[in-house]
Amino acid sequence: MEQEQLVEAAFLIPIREDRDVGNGRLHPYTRWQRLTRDLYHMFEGWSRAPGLVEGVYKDPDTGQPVSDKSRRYVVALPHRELDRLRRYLREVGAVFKQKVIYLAVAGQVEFVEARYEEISDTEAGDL
Amino acid sequence: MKKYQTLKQEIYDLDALPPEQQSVYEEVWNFYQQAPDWDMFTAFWLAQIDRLHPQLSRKDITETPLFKICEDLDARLAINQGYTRPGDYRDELQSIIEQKFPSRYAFCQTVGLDEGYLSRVLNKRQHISMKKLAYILDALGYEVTIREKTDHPGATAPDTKCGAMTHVGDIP
Repeated sequence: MEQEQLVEAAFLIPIREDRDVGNGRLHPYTRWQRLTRDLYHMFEGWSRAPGLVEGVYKDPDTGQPVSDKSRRYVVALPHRELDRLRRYLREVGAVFKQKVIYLAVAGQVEFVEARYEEISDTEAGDL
Repeated sequence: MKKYQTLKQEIYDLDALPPEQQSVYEEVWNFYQQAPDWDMFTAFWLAQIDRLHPQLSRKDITETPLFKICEDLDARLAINQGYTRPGDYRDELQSIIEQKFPSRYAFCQTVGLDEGYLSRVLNKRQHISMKKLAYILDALGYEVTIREKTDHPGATAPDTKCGAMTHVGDIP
């Protein structure tokens, strides 16, 4: 049987809340537990890169440079599932109190805006 | 009876786990005691659990006591390594609001609370009085209680007595 072609998608989750929409604190462990559960439901395989990714970006609202440290997650998924991943990351952005989530799909970078009205207790598998 | 108490105060009877699950628990626990990197530990226990339950859906697997115990060890390790923090009452309050209402706005409308005030409280920018907290909790169907302090998750350093941390022992 021919295996469906998969694309690699990587996204970053800062280990601290955004200072504007949150208060810059570390996330409580329950948010990471929820992310792990969701990824476990959604994907057969995913990985979290060791250590932290350090980065600096320009805040879209203030125009000021902001530095942060993030965890990098990598998932392999069929191309047709990408929109589902984007929808999920909109929710993740709100759960982790971010403005946007950095997403790279096969080397192409995009910023997925957090949707605060979409926070729910819905498991990712039901999306 | 051997028990495991999670950071969320859930208690699981380790003796009630089937033998193959007890064996996985021992393996995960032994690895945890070596204080591996958080990423390595997560991959390790997820793989162990996957092998154990090939007949269950992943959603069902996450409801098993063994999964909940492993994800609790995972959280303790992440707290200890500085990647995350224990929850506080604000996190719990936010979680309850999200579960019971479609939005914070809807909640504030229902209980007659200023949304900006709630946001400042949840973001640790404003203190909340006990009276107001009790009022909010009552609207959610909850109440304030006092409970004995258990171990602090920050005490999960690899060189501390891990047995005390997971409350493995006999229930009086």
